[in-house]
Amino acid sequence: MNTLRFILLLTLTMSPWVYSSEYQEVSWDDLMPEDWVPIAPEEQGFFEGETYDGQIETLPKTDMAPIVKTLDKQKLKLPGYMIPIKFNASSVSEFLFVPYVGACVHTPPPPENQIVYVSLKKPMETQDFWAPVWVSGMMVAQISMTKFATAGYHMTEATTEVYDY
Amino acid sequence: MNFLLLLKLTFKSILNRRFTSCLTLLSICISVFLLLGVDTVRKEAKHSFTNTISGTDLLVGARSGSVQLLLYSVFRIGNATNNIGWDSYEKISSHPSVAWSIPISLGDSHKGFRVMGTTQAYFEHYRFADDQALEFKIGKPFSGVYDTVIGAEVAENLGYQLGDELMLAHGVYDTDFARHDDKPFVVTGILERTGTPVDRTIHVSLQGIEALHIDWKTGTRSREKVSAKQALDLDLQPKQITAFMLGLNSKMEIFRVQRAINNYKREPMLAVLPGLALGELWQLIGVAEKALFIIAVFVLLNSFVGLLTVILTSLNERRREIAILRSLGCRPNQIFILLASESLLFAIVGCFLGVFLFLVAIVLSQPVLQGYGLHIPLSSFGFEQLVLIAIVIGVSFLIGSIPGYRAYKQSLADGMSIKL
Amino acid sequence: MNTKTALLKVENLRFRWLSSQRDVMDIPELSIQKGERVFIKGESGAGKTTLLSLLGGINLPDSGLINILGTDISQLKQSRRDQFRADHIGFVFQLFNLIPYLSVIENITLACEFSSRRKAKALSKSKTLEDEAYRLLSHLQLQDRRLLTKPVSELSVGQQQRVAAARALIGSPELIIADEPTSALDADTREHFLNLLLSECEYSGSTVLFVSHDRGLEHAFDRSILLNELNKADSRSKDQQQGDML
Repeated sequence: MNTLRFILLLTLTMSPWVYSSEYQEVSWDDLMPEDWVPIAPEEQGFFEGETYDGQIETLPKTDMAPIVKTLDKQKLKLPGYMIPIKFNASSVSEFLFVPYVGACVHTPPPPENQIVYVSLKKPMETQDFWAPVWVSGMMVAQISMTKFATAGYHMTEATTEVYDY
Repeated sequence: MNFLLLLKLTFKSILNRRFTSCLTLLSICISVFLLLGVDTVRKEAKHSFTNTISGTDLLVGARSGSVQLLLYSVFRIGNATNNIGWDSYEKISSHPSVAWSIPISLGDSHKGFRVMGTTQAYFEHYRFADDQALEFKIGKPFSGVYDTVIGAEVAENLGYQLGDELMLAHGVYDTDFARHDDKPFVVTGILERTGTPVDRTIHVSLQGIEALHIDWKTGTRSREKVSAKQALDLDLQPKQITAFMLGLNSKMEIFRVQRAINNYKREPMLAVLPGLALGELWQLIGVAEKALFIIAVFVLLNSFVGLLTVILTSLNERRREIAILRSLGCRPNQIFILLASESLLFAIVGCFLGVFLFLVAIVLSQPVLQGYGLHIPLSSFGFEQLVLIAIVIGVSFLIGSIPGYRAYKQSLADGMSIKL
Repeated sequence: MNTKTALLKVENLRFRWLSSQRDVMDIPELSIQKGERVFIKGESGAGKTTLLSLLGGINLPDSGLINILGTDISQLKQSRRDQFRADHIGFVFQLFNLIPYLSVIENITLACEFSSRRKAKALSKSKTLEDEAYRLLSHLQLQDRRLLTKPVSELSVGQQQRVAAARALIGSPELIIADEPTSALDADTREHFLNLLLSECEYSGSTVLFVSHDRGLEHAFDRSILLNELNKADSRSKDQQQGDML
C-alpha cells in the first residue's frame, strides 16, 4: 500500500516536468540573433521605381533577415497570430505565424525572422482567424532557399492551442 | 399500456380540432424550414466563398479597399475604381521574388455574364477549393485574338458550344446599343464546373479586350470604325489592366512584397492577402448572417408561442373532458402527459414536415443556386442539423409542460365541481 | 344494520376547502348496504358535489374514514385512490358526460381502459369490449347502430345520458354514483331513464347512490336521505333549510 502511494506521488510530481520538457517555450525575441539590428525598410528599396526621372533602375540586393541557427530541430512553443494561407470555411491548415496583426500600416511588416511558416498536423477548426494561439512544433531553421524549401523559419506537424489572456 | 392510451387520446383530440391543428402544424413546419434554410445557406455560403480562390499569395489592384478588390477581382461583384498601368504590372511581376502572375481586365459583359481579359497564365496557375486547377471540359485556352473560353454556367445557360459566336457588350449590362457587334468572338474552350464565379465568366485574351476597345478610346464608339480584321494589324499590347494575382517564391516574402506594392510611388495600388480579405468580408457578412439566424430563431419561437396559445385556449374547453377522465380514474400526472404530449406531437410532426420541405427545396433550387456559385448538396443536412431539430423538439416539450402543469393543477383543484 | 356487509361506511367525516374557516362537510355517520338504492336529496350548493367527490376519492377528507368495500380510501395515496375509483366506482353526471372526440363506443369502453379489473369483468360477459358496450346500450334501449356511429355531439341529451350510464355500468363496478343525471332531461324522459338505469344496476348487482333535488323521483329508491340532516356542517340559514323540507 505504501509503495503504491509512493509511486503515485512520484508520477504526479514528475508529470509536469515530463510534459514541459516536450516543448520549450520561447518568445519572438529569441528568434532574432542578438547581434542583429533590423533595418527600417525605407532605407532599402524594393522596386526601383521610386524616381520619376526615367533613369535605368537597378534592383538592389535585399538581404533576408538572419535566423538563429541553434533553433533548428528544436521543439518549440510560442504564442502569436495566424495569417491564413491554406484554409477553408471552417478550418486553417497552413499559415504565417506572426507576433501581431493589424498594426501593419504605421510600422513596416515584421522582418523575416519574425515570421514562422506553420503547417499543422491536423487542420484547426476555428471561426475566428484573428484569435491568438500557441503553436507547438518542431522548428526548422532553413538558411537558404532550395528547390524544396524556402529560407526562414518553418514548423511542420505543429499543433495549436487557444491562447488564454 | 396507459401511456399508449394517453397518446391515442391526444391524437384523437388533435384530429378533432383538425383545422386549427393544421394551421399550427403549418406554422411549425415553416419555421423549422426557415431555420434549417438560413443555417444551411450561411454555412454553405461561407464554404462557397472560401472555395473560390486558393494558393494565390497576393491580389493587386488600383488603390481602393481590400474587400472591394476581392469582390471585383475574384467574385466579379462590383467594379474597380480605376485601372493600373501595364508598366507597373511588368515591373512588379518581373521581380525575382515573384514566381507567377495573372493579369486580369474587367469591364465588359455578355448577356449578364462578365467578360474577363487575361493570359494563358490564368489557366496554368489559377487554383480554387483545395488547390484544384481549372480543367477543360472541351477545347483549349485561347490562341487567337478573338478566341474565348467560357465557364460551365455560361455554356449551360446560353447553350453555347465550341465554335459558337458571341457579341460582347461594353459595360456590365448587355444592351443593343452598347454592344461590340462588329467584333464577334468564337468559343474555343469550355471549362468544367468549379462551383465558383469562374463558371459565370467569359474569358478572353488581353489582346481581345484591346481589339474591342480600339475604336472606343473616347469613351464611345468613334466615327471611324475599325473592323475586326483591321484591328488585328494594329498594336494590341495592353496599356492597362484592372488587377493581377501573384504567386511568390517564398511565402515569407509576402509581407515585404505587399508593403512594397502598397508604397509603390509611381502608381497608387493595393495588395491584399486573399485569406485576410476573405476574413474581412466574412466579418461584414458575418453580422448579417448571424442576424438572419437570430431572426429565424425568433420566427420559431413565435410559432411556439402560437402553439402554446392554441393549447392553452383549448385547455379551458377541455376542463370538462379532464373532469370526466378524472372520474374514470385518470391520475393528475396522466393529465399532465395528455396535455404535454400534444405539443410534442405537433413538434415532431412539424419538424418532420419542415425537414421534408427543406430537402425538397434543396433539390429544386440547386440549378438557381449554382448560378450564384452556391453549392448546397443534399448532404448538407447532417448531424448538426439533427441536433438543431432535437433542440426544437426538446424546447417544445418544455413549452408543452406549461399547459400540462396547469391542467395538472386544475384537475386537482376542480375535483368534481366543474365550472361549465 | 349489519356493518359487516356495508358497501360504504362513513364515520366522522370532516372536510373544508383550503381557503375556508369552516367545515363544509361534517358527517358523523353514513352506512350503505350492498345492492341498496339510495336517494340523497339536496339543493345545489348544499355540498352534494363535495360529498360525491369525497366518496369518489377525488378529494381527501381532513379527518374521519370512508370505507368502501373494506378499504379505507381516506388512507390511500392519490394514485391508489384514483385506481380504486377506476376499479369500483362508476359516475354519471348531469350534463356533458361524454368526450367529444371519441365515438359512442369509445366513450363507453374508455372506462375499461383505466381498469383492468373492469375490463376482465366485461370480457367475461361478452367476447369483446365493443360487444359488451352494445349489449349494455341495448338494455338501455339504444339499439340503432346508425345513431351510434354519429359523433356524440349529435345525440340528444337523453341519448347522451344513456351512453353515460352504459359507461358507468360496463365492467360492473360495485358502486354507481349519479349526480343529478335526470335534471337536464324533460319530464317524460326522466322516469324512463331512471327506470332503465335502476334496472340495469340491479341486473349487474351494483349499489346506487343517486343525488338530486327532484323529490319526484324518490319513490324508485330503497332509502332517502336528506343531505342537510346528514351533513351537520350545512351552513345555510334555517329558512333555506326549511325550504328544503317542503
